[in-house]
Amino acid sequence: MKWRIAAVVTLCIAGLFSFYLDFIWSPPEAQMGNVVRIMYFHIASAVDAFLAFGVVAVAGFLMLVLRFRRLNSFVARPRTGVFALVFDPWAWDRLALSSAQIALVFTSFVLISGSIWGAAVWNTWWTWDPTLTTTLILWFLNVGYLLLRSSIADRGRAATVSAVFGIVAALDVPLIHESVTWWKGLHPEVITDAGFNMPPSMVITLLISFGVFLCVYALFVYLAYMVNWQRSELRSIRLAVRDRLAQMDQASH
Amino acid sequence: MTIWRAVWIMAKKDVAIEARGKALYLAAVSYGALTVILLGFSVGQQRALPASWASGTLWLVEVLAALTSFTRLEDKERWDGGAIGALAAPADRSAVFFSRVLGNLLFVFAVECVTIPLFLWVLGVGWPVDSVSFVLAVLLGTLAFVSLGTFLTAVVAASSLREILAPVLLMPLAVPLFLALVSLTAADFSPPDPFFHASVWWVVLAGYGAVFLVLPGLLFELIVEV
Repeated sequence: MKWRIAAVVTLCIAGLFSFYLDFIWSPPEAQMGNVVRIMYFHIASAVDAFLAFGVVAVAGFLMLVLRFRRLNSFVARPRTGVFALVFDPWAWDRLALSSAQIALVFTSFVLISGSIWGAAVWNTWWTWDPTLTTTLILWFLNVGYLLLRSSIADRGRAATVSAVFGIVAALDVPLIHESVTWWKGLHPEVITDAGFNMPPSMVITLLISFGVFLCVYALFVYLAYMVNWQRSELRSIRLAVRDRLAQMDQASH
Repeated sequence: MTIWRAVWIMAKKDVAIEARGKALYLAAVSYGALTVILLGFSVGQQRALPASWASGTLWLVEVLAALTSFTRLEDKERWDGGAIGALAAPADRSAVFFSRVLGNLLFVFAVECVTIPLFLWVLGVGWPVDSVSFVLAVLLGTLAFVSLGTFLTAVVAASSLREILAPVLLMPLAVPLFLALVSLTAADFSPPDPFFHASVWWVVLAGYGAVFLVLPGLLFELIVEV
């Protein structure tokens, strides 16, 4: 318990330091002025949103590999110890669900911050920019994933079909981005093959922002994972109690 | 039994059942036709739609008409217990998927044969300048869309929200396909443009079609396993 409190406190301090760099230390941009400060949150949360959806696909894939006998026959599973969790398909399933929940938070934040930035810089709240459009599609895929999971009563079936959907959707995201780019392109390229198109002070601020947002993502996923784990445990207990009551009822008759 | 023979037998069964009832064909064609007519009202008394608008609205009509067939086939299989029978067939599970794709494909083609000419006539778009390219785009695009739609309908089969969830999952995934079809069809409705790179969109269309025909075939067994 103590290490969790320490982790949250450390993250809060890192977050405040990142805020200081974002709002005070880093210089305003020549063209955009102070609006550029939105970028530190926007880009960092965009990276986390796409990373989180990648985690959904990878965790779903590992869940399928470990769960289906035909696929996991080559894996020797330890039954006890910490490594048992690594070979537990339901642990990967909970990770996929938790990451999808947090991905939705970050994707929503990217869309809102992108819109505010667009209103200030492009003078429009929405434009058919490839990155913005891809993020919107990702948001819908995320919502679809969570709706799909929550609307299937059988836990095993929900895990399997949502893992399959997560993999297919993650494979489709790069194609969506490329096709929208070919259709229309407008987004400023902050990070290109040549590196960062920014002064060093802004690069440092952005990198620290990346680091803090990554830690926030990890913490949120951990918390969501624990909630989902407790929820599934509670469900198992409820089912066991129901079965026991049914048995007792049958015995009394 | 080879996989293709199993596909053919199961698809023939689906088409025969629908052909006997005729209700779904009639309903889907009426739905597509009514969408075209409502579109005609919504664009007002314009003499003809611009090519870029016409291609987008054409595919919107086709997508809406196709969506009616996907959930219908899945529901029918469940009500009559046909789904269990199909899974018990002495053939690879992917045969069930490909038979559903074939059944849906024939249905959507039948609907398109009525709605596309009607669309071109009612909205005054006129027959495409490049007919071969247009027909090829319709054939390939429909195949890719039907394959993806059939797969996602099987994915949402156990969901309590399946009727609404099928399009909610399908539409975002079909964005690259939709963009490719809209771009290619808009070019077919316009005079030749030297700056339009059709090859890029043909690659997207063919690649998308290949991926979403093969990938669901491989994954189908997993989603019907439980």
